[in-house]
Amino acid sequence: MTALVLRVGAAFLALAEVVGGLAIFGLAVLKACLHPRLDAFETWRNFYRVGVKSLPIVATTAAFAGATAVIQTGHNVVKFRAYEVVGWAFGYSVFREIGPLLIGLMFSGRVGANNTAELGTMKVTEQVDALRTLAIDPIDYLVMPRILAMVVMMTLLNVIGDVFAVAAGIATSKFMLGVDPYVFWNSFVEYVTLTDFFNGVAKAAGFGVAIGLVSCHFGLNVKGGAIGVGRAVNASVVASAVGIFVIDYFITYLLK
Amino acid sequence: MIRCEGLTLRFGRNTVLDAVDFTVPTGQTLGLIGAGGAGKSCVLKLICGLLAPTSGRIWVDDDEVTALDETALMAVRGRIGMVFQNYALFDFLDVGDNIGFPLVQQARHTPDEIRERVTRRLAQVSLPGIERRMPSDLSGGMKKRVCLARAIVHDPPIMLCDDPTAGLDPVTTNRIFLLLKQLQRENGATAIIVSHEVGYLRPICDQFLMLDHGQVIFRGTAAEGLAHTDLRVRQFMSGEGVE
Repeated sequence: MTALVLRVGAAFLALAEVVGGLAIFGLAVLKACLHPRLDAFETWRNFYRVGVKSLPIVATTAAFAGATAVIQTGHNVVKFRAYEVVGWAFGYSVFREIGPLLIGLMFSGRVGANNTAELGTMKVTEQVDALRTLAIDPIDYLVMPRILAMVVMMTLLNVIGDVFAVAAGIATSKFMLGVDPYVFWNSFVEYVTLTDFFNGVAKAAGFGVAIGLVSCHFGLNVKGGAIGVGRAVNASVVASAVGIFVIDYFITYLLK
Repeated sequence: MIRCEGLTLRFGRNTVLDAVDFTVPTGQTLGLIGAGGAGKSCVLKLICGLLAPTSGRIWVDDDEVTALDETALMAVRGRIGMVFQNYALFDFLDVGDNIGFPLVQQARHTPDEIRERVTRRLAQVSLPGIERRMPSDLSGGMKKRVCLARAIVHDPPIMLCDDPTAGLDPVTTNRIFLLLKQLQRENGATAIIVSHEVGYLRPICDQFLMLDHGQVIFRGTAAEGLAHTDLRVRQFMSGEGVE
């Protein structure tokens, strides 16, 4: 019984340490936002690394998400011959929920994990200490460009992903359900509103903030060499995924 | 001037440094020696504020490092050049950009000036013409010398060198110590050099401090160390090693 209480207590303390650490880190980032001192090269490097390099995986994810959404609705569309709603059902679910959520999770797995590993390695090889001895604040030089790149690129990738999802949705409905692209498109533009689109964009931006904060926090707090980097990457991916679902819930609730 | 008073550092129950006191007057060089794990690297990290002591105070010139916040520490660190034990080169920058990094960040130099300084420092550490190579393409010894070039590129008045010649051949080791001496003479830099190469340290250090399990067991000149009553100090200073 004592052992159980001790384990529950230890787990609670560990959780409190992560949440508290993230809150303090978030405040430090917020403070840095008031007087941004971005290094142009580092910012540009991160935009390329985070955005351009993620495009293929995001396009693939979005295309399959769009195609899957059409297949899921296909059964009822064919059954009730409700071809005129296929574009709406697709657009509503993909733009508002499936698109940003799946892209966010993919982004977290690719960019967030990579970011934690990079910062963690910099920490254990004393590169972060070297920055500090050169009178450079790691928050300004390392964290700010990364979070900015993640927020901007996650948002842009979500928009690009929407385009790929629509293309895949049209192709799937044509070849699997026999729905004319013109009918699909009409249903899509008539029922899917800008609110649906911006709902997804807001979620993508929120996910970008969460992935950026979590991945940088875990990376800069690595302890214990290569094993520590591995642990931090694992914890970062899990915490980012939890953060994505929590933010998804709150944005859905606020913009309902 | 660097001054430490009652410097104590503990990690949990492990005491790394125990009431360490010393002063390095401006323009002088201190050789910090001792067996591995004696706490030498921690002393350097404490001086530039990378670690906070459990108790004790540190001054760098007129600034009490232990009383400064992170923002105020930046100004002190701008006057320090540090050579890291594990190189700490930025692996996303090539050699030239690594060495020029402090100058670029200071934003007080033209690109031509930076290029000229980088070229000169690379020549001084016997690595001319490797500006465009990445740190991952270098051997350990080359990384060490690039790290030294980066630490001295902005002519810092204070130098902290953590084992600057580990893994280097005797010729390069000698060249590095001569370079450190030359810099100290030209800039009047105050320096602390952590090294096991006591033979090379003797001609360039004004005084020595020997740590053993976090405690100071010797403070004085090389001659005093060689004539010390403590066998550990005598053996270390003569290069015979500690039993």
